[in-house]
Amino acid sequence: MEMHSWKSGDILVVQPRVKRIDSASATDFKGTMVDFINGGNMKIVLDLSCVDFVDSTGLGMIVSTLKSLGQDGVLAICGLSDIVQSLFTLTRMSRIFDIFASVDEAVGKLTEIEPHAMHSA
Amino acid sequence: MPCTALNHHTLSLIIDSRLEDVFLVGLAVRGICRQVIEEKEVPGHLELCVVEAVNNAIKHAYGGLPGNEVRISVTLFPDRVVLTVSDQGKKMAATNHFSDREPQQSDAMPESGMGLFIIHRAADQVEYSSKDGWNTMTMTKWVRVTT
Repeated sequence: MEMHSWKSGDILVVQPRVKRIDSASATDFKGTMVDFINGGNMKIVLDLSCVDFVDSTGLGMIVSTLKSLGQDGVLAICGLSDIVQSLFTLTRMSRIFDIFASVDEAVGKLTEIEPHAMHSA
Repeated sequence: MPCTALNHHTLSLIIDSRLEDVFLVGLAVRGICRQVIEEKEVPGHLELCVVEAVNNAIKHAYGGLPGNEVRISVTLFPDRVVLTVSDQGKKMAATNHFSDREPQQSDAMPESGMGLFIIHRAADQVEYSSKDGWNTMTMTKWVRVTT
């Protein structure tokens, strides 16, 4: 899976350059995210602006990424298409994830708060 | 027997039980529904339904093995869209026909098993039946359809 990534301070922005994160590609996605976390990246913005469909397996891998970060890390998501936003809403994951409209907004939020405070903010 | 008073249109698709091919079904359903349904979010919901149902057929009915047939139909009525996904694999356990698990908190968030929950949330009516060796999930969305 082609993933573009860059650093903004101590925040890693990850942008999957694929149309779909689904049962066929989710394992590849998860492996890449685990590599980022094992590399010491604990503040991650996942920019899904290139992705126009995520299925339950893909969502599961995003959940897995959040769990892998644990209390010491934060994950913000941005750039959701209408269909991907629908998935987060249908599964009520929109209440659990920190979702932003843009990379800038997500990076701004992660810059201003401590990791452990993110999910209770 | 000739068909009289036809008020519906049906597209039938067949794919091999390969997860790599499921996107074709999703794109077909989304493309069709975008052309005939005005409500913006519905085509995406129907794509989710059909993709999750086909994924279930491949992963659970056929154990993830390729070389098996998955049949899909999309039927457009003036007041609803009906999707069916059929397989000849292992029947779904009755207790799994409806799975209403809802993620509540981080340590309870499921990483798998959300497919049926999504189907039941996205469709208005979901049925599952087995007949003549075929297991079929039927998903209905009540929505105005203009063909």
